[in-house]
Amino acid sequence: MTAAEGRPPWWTPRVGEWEVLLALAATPGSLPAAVATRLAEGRDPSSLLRAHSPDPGAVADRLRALGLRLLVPGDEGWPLSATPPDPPCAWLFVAGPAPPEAAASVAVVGGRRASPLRQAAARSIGAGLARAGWCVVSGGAVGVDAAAHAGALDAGGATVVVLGCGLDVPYPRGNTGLFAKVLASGGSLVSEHPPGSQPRAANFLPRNRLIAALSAAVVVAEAAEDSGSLSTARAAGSRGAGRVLVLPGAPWDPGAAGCNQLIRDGATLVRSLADILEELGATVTGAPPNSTGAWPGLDGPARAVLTALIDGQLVTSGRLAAVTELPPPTLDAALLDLELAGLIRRTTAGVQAISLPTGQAASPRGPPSAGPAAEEHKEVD
Amino acid sequence: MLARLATAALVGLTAHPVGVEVDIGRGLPAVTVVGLGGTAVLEARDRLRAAFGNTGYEWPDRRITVSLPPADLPKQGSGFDLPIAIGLLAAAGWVPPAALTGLWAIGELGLGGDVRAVKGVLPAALAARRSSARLLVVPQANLVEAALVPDLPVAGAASLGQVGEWLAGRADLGRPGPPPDPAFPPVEDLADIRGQHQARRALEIAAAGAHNLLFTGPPGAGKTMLARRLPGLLPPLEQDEALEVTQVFSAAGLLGPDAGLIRVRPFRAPHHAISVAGLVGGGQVPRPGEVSLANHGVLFLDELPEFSRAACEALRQPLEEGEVTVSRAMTSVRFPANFAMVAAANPCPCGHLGDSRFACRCSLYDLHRYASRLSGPLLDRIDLYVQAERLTADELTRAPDAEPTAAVRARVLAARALQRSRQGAENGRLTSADVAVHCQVTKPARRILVTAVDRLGLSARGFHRALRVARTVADLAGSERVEEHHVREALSLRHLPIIGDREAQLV
Repeated sequence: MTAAEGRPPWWTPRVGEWEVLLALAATPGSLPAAVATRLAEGRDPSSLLRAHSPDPGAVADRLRALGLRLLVPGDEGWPLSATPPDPPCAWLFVAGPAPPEAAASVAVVGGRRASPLRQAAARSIGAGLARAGWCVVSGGAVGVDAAAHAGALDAGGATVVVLGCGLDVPYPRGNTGLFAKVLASGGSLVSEHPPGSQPRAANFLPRNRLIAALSAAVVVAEAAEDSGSLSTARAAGSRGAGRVLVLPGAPWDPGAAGCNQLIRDGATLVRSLADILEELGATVTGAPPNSTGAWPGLDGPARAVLTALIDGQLVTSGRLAAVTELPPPTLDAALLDLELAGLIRRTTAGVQAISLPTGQAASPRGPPSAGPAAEEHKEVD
Repeated sequence: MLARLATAALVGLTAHPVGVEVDIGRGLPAVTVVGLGGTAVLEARDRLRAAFGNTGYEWPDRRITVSLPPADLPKQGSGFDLPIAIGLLAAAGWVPPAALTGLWAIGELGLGGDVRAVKGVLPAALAARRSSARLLVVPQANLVEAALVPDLPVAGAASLGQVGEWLAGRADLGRPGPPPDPAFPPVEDLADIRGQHQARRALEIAAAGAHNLLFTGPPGAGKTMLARRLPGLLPPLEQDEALEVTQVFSAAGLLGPDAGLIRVRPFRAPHHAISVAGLVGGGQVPRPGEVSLANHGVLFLDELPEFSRAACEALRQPLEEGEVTVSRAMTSVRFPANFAMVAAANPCPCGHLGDSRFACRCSLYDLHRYASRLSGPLLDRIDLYVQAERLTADELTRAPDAEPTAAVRARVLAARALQRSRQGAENGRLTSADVAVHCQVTKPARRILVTAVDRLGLSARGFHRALRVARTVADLAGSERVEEHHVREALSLRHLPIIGDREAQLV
């Protein structure tokens, strides 16, 4: 018997199947979904090895050093046996405990540039789901992903972060603190990619199918036209078992273009956390969702400003003046009051709402954890 | 025979007296120039020979030695042509040497014998007066500039022939006319800008308290147009300020022919590709940069994030000290750089973030990069953030008539007078310690500041900035106490987060 061309120097027919799989998973440069498809077609794993496939012993040592594990179908804790993704998944690198089965989890997805209002919605939904005992699954990006995880952590829940790069690669850099918190709270980080893999654009669409496969339902908190959130939702929808729950928006809200499209294609419209829990089979009691978008206790000008900001979009103060027809001093006063109340934020590009109307927010954004003295406060401006 | 007169050499902004000694003696025909003359000075030999020939003077074919004491002061430029030529005329016996007593001269010679304008005539004239010169002869085109210095007799020369005739007593030189009309020249008026309520108000506050200002807004929002209105809001230039401004322009060679005193506060808007030397001054022979040309005026930095990091760093010294030091191996010179800074930036690289009419095409990465370029030490020196708006044609026609510059300036002058009598400086220049003394606020005003620290994440620096600005708002209202509504207005003009700034991320 001769070694097939391209097999690594360490390979002999006596190397065990687990070792071959370990080397295969750790081989840099190959798309895991493509390898998994060929394995599912019945190809001999060793024939898929490449000349540069690393020595399985070294891989095992590396994983041990990084505190990671490789899960494969059939392992105890393999989460995808009931909900195999398409294309299939042949292994998962895991940090923390093995993620729960899809039946125990709900994904919350949306874009990185989602408006602060939709991020607040994602955070509130994440918190509500965690409080109801669900595990929250999402990607590791800034924006909606981070907001959903942060919400679940706020409520003391566990979350699963599905990454499109190696679990030891700090990407995105701004979220490394969040990832540490996820692990500290008993959640897990999972990825198909071996340690050291950089976040390539091609990794993210296949990553989305895993988010869908790891959850009983996908809540789309934000989806612009042609966004990645749509691919996650479609992956969940095509699986049949998974449900797609979508937060709608105004037709002119760019962050709702994909959401509204999904609803038109047959996804379920949800207005609130209560709607989501009801879809998940919980009996919901209590007040119906606040559908008027009211912020109680606000006077005329402030209410007019908030109404103009209801989409969560950036609006310049000149445009606000034109829409609300408030005289400049009244508008400036209303803006400062709303800022101090934590309902809006002003940026160099315009004003936007950041807090959900009462009744929508399961966990309103608290005030920044500032010390009382100005001199002690961290420089951020 | 030996002839002696004087001229001046420019070092930075000031001119130093330089003697010109010309000796014609025996020896092989040659011209030697001693005394650290630069290339342009050494080339004077060739210009002089041609100018003499073309004017009709026979070139003395003997050994000519020109000395320019003090010998250790480097001398640059072509202004030495005229004094050396006059010395030669006297040394060769064409004119009586007594005519050269107490005489100063500066000017470049063309090959045809014409006298050409040079830079630095005003500093030279100041040096001549300090040395009690009997007369300063300058190029005819620089005569108005030289005549700016009182108590100094000046004359303008158009050609070498004219100078020779005048020295021989057969003709006269150009004499300065009566001083030009001191009428204040027109400025760009604030009445031209409609709408832009907050931006107009911010300009008023910036002018009243010497606060630096940042405009953000989409392209076409009129950021440059607004900034151009700031010089007109500032008090008129005092006589000595005007002289200093004119001196810088003279040293930079930017005074046009027949230019007199500059009476309008300068407005300088360097392009963002400018080098550090162009911005703060430099060069082998140090020349003033844009910050010095903006002295007593306004420096406008459009597209602030596009300026190089080095350029922004170099702005720190002038912003803190009101002057710049340019050090070279031979010399170290100081240029004044006391200016008001107005910066402008798009909200994002494509400029359309927050614009209701165009979609922003920037990626998150673009926004991060832009935000990190915009942050930095320069922003610490900026007290006011304002959004400039692009108005629709409809909004423009509906906007009420705007207040003219003259009305706003009256308030600015009154507020500045209050500041001078209280603390002797503008509010924008107060240190944190001064702020504690002069910016006492009422109880309700303090309460809202503390809330802002809590809810808006106002930093310690931001806190002091808000106090300084609130002090100016109160001064504009003629109020001795800083009240709550003054602080509120200051807070609406505070530093705002930049979308894409990782620090300002919500989660």
